[in-house]
Amino acid sequence: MKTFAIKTKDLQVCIDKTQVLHAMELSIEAGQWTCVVGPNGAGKSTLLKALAGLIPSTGELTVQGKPLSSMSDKDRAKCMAWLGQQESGTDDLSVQDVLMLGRLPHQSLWAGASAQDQSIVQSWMDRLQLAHLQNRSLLQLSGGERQRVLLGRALAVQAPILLMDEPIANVDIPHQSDWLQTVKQLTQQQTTVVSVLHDLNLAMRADHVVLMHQGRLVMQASPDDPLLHEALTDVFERRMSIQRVADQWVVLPI
Amino acid sequence: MNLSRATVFTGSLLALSLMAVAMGLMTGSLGWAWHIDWQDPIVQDIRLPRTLGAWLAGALLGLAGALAQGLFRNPLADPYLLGSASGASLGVALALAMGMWAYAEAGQFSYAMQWGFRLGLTGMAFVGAWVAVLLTLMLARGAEQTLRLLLAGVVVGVVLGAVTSLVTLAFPQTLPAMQSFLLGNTSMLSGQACMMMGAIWLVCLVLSCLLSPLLDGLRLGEATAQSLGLQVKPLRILLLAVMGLATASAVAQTGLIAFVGLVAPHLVRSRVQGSYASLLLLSSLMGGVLLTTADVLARGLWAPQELPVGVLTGVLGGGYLLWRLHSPSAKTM
Repeated sequence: MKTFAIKTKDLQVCIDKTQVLHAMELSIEAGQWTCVVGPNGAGKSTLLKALAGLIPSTGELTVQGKPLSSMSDKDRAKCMAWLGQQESGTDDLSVQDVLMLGRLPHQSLWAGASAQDQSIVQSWMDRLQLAHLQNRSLLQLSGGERQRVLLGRALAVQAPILLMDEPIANVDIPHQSDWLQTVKQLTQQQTTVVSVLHDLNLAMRADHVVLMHQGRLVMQASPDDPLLHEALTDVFERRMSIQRVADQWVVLPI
Repeated sequence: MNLSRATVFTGSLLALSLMAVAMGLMTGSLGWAWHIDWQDPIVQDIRLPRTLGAWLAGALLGLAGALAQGLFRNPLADPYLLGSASGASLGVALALAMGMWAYAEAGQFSYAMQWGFRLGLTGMAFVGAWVAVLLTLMLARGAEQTLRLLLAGVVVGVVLGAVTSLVTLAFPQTLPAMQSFLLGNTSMLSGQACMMMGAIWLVCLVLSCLLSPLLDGLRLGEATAQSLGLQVKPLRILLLAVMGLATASAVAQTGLIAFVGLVAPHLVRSRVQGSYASLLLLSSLMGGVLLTTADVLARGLWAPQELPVGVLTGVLGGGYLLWRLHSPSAKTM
């Protein structure tokens, strides 16, 4: 039987009196990778922020069976880790400091990092091959390394749900490959991953694709679904084709 | 964080603070003396409160500067650029005008009136600082747009400066006190002022260190801080209140002393990385060292003539920032 990590019913978001999201009905399956795609301005980032509880929304939004509105800020943060678009440090934070920020939801306002926090941060640094960079400043790293560190920050929360907005924008192929591997490992460990991606080729590697257009849900389906291919082609003005190459779906601009 | 480096840096700043205070006690209008005569009433009644007061005012400004830079995620933010110093000046001008009026009515100041005057001065400076920061934030429509924030701070500073001038013109008997205030002056610091600044410094330091997880979270953006379960709005208001109190208590007692709040956190960050709890403490200690040293130099460089300490910090702090702007590490500013 399917279990759902996030469910929405008639989810709507208004920003500055403009309706940005219209009646979204979504069911995000637990322990799976769901990718949100759509043209620029479709409302993908807004949807992710609404799911994370970072912007006000109306309608029903349940996370792991509980209404999001009934959860405290700390509980919400422990339940859903969020990696924003182009997160960047304003000063010289070290890699270890950045990962330690991920432990904030588990710390009281009056207490610092515990031995357990240190050990969790160290384990994520090892898993993401960041240990050799731990004392380097975030500003001294390459784009790919920086994204890996920021992913580490989100993973250090150790939340059952991970929401990521454009986590691999401007990242080279080897780092994209590392990211894909990490996502696959996370879903194998029953972590629910929801990401917004512009790169449709990578998005078609997800377990489910959510297609959005003009603030509305067009379709939620498996990447193998021919109806999804048709809908994608329509939304992107029929200026692309989707083909099967080496057992993977490849999206080519026409 | 490199703990040993931060510990060594803390120890160095404490040692420098002691040295600067000792120098302050040995420096008089006739130049340097190489020993401290604790029995000398000049040391007890004038140099000791003045030197300790300078350290405390610097520590308050260093703390306020680090808070401003963390809260607004802007390395150029300091209590002065956000208009809070101008607001505090206006508060002090109004308090002076009211104090002069009360003195004229009563004929003399009792001990209780002296305390009341100091509290009133700090209170008015605090209200003025807060009003100015709120005006800046309203004009900038929040704290996210750096350029808009700084421009709003400049506008608020100019307008409140003009109102301060009007108050001074309306009450000309406040003019000498206001002139000394605008130049930055540590010569009138008393034991009462030290006790008040010391108590406020402790409260502000403890509160800001306790609330520092917000500043750590804000380093990666407001949304990230929010996603980490931090209650951004109430914590930001609390920290703004702490910043306003720290700025106001320093400005009320010593007048406008430029650049200490801006330079102290920069100097700390150029040496150590780490969580905001340690940055706040170190910036505060650095501010204390800077202002005490500047005070000693202001007294000793042209002895027996004394320079206004605010002029000296302006020249030294401005020079340091210009040097940083042209240094290879300027991109990290």
